[in-house]
Amino acid sequence: MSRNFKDALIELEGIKLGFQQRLILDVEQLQISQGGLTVLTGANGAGKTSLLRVMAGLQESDQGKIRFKGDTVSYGSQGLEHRRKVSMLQQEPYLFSGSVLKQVCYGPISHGLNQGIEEKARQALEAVGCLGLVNRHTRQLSGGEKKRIAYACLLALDSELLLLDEPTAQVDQESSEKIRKLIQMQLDAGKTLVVSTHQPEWAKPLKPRLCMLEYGRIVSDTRWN
Amino acid sequence: MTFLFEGFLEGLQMVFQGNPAVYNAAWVTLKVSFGSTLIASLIGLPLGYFLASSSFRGKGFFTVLLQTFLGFPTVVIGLLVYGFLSRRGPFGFADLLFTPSGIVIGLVILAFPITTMFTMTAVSGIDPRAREMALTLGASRQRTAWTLFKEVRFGLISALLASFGRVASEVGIAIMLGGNIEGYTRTLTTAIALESMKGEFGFGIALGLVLLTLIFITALLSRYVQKL
Repeated sequence: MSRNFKDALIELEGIKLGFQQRLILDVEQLQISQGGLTVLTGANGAGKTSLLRVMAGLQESDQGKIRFKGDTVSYGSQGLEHRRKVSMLQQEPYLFSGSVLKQVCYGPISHGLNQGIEEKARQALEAVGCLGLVNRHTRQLSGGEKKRIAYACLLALDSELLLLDEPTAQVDQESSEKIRKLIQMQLDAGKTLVVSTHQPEWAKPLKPRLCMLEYGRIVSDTRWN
Repeated sequence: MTFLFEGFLEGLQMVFQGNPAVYNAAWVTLKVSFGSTLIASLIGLPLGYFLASSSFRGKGFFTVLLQTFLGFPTVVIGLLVYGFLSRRGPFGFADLLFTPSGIVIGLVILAFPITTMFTMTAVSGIDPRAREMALTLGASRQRTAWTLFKEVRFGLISALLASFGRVASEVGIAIMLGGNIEGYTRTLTTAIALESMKGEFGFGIALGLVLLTLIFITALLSRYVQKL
């Protein structure tokens, strides 16, 4: 486990989550410090996505507590504040019906911004190499493009914690490389990222902290230098 | 066959000559149908969304209750509302019986289960990732609901269209609560019932044509809205 608790951005304690009478998440303690990359890895069904969803405020655990910068995280209608600090990239992102630009503007509008939204969206699209798709309808995008657009949605938000669920699944080598570069850019900007992946080697150049999950438990927690 | 053909021609003539009785009935029909569809939507859309997106004790029973309402005989609705609105009834003081507002009350009871069930079905069918996408991008619950409504706008427009079609073609409630007063509560359907009983087949056809045209225009408009 991470040992430096003082600057923990998010802390999980005694998190248990069940599904159909089976414990799918059983995390005794996990602290993620501000800045840096944490990689969650493990087999299918190990609990990676569930852990990310709990951290994102999208799924309430059955037991346990989550604190974000020391404040206990709420869920449901009370969880809006937390959801505006943490953003999650879905494994297979859902994009709303409409243009790509509208999709990327959705987050900043939801956050209550009313100036420079389009500019922010265009910058985010440029960062993911999709500025040329700005007027394309979201239904006309390939799987890899959808993923990059969804990533742009997160970049346009400037969230404190970015959670990426299998960002390189079902994308080609080139897109995978682009995503790694984007993560590096975010890390250089001092952001905190948690990424789940089946292929931790992919993240090795980013020198992450590596947490291995098995049956919902964190069985190893190491720094990968 | 000649009788049918002549009736149809007579009907067309009345429509194109602007027969005031036909257009009065059409105006009343439009008023009560739009009014009741609007109120039914204000109840049915949020209720359907709530039922689709939440789980609570008794949800199954409540859904069955709504499904029962879908098959509720319209004369029974008319009778019950009549009882409430009649002078001896609890709302008799409001003087709503035999007024367009009285018809609207009955039609809302008829239409809201339709909008609710259609909305519930449409929202239940949304990909769960859509809600999560909205939430993770920091949308409030209201904005999330609005986003999901936009995602299933085809289903919702069908809900409104089905409600409108149902209330515009309703006879029992309109007669019992409206009283078929010419120029005031006489709708196209009640006028058709009355005129055909009097043997005025052509007049009935004219009214029927206007009713069909109204429903056709509504369908066209909804198609346009869906494309927006």
